[in-house]
Amino acid sequence: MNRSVLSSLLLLVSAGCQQRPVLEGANLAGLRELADAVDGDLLMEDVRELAAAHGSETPLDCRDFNFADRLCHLTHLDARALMRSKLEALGYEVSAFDTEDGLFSTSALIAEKRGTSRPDEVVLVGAHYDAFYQGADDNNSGVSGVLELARLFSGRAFDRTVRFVGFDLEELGLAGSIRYVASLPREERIVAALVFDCIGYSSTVPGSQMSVPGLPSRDTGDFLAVIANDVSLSRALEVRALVDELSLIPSLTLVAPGDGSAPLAGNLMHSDHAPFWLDGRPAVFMTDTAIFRNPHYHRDTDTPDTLDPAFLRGAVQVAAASLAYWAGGPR
Amino acid sequence: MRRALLLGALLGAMVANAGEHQLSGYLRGGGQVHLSAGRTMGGIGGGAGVRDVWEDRFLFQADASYLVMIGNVLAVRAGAGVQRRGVYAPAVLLVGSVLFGDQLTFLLPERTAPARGPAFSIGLAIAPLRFNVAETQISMLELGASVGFDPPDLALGFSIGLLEIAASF
Repeated sequence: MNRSVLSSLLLLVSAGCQQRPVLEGANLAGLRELADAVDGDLLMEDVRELAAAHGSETPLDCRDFNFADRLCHLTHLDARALMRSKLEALGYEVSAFDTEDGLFSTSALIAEKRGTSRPDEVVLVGAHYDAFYQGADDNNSGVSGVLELARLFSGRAFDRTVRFVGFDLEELGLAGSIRYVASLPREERIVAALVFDCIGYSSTVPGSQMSVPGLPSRDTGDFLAVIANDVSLSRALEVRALVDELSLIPSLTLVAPGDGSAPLAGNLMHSDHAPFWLDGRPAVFMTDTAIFRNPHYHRDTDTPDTLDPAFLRGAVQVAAASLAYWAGGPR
Repeated sequence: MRRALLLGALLGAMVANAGEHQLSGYLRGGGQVHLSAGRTMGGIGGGAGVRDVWEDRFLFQADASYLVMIGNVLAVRAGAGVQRRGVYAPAVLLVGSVLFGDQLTFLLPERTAPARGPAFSIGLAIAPLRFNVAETQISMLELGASVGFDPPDLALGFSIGLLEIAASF
């Protein structure tokens, strides 16, 4: 073979192997400042207020849902009202996407920070506000994360529109998020959706982290799990790059094949990101892995004092940097 | 008596074929998995292959299978080994395999880049319940273990064949 042809081929191969920098164009100083501004005290204050709201509300009649006795305490109305009032107090105009369906009526809360240069492109962050018992980890931690991001983003400018969403009745088969995603106009471009479900529990005790066969994991439950599917792979890699670049809390990234619905990947679909995946939209799920780590999962012992405030803050820092990067900012 | 005659005919046929190549095609079903700190790949399914048996002793084979459960995976294997002569013909093979397609991908805190692309491994497979009956071969169990490399991690591969039916041509 001609030497010049060979060298051209080698050049082509090497060019094909070169990857675009994962964080191309990132305002790392701005992202670091944003992550540093996450307020752990405010996060825990929201967790406690939400726990009080869930704890004092009359739960849904579990006979209607065929729950086991252990799960007979699901509430959502007071937490919804609290989430709405907190978003409004931050200056957001809050709308609701309601579906009337008797026992399964749902209401998604929606607030937006409109983008400055690409307002038709949306990055979304959401968490379900229904909970069993006080629901400190599941999912007051996630709701408090959304509220803290709403606070941080309210005073800053971003290229894309940032949407904050509270999902209803996740505990009843993802009812609220399924309906919300089904209502999205096909032409609406969701650049990335970020979903929180249980982001406040950690443990450094050996053996505190469980996994399932085929999923490697640390033995200690002290990392944030960042879960994506193939459609969302680049988003997950960006989260990971931000974690490394900004020295945020350790993360374990899991990427499910295809749309995520492969039988052995089923455990990765148990929250409100799943409807986004099944609709072909990029979504990243952040979690402390819930039942695989937290012994209080879906129990009356899921109380604020069991959470790790530093871990919760760290998880929201990861989310703040990721969401801001995807939104094109801060400017 | 009839059984003895049948056995004699089989043995006669095998002696007559000694020193020859015997080609066969086979269908197989089972599962295979490739495990490393960077990914899990594989599944269960089935496929087809071709085999050359030389001097009724040495096996050379290649097959391709379609696997599901962790997305869609194409498993291509090539192997060489030896079998026992006779009706009861357990075999042992050196097998190289490549998996293409979907995978569960992991980035542990210590790892910075995802493992992507085909998953290679090489290892041993044993087929303890394998029989030659006239122009047909049946294997009811094949167990395999292999090692691979997903830089910078070592990978382990495991396979199980639950049924394989081959016909000579």
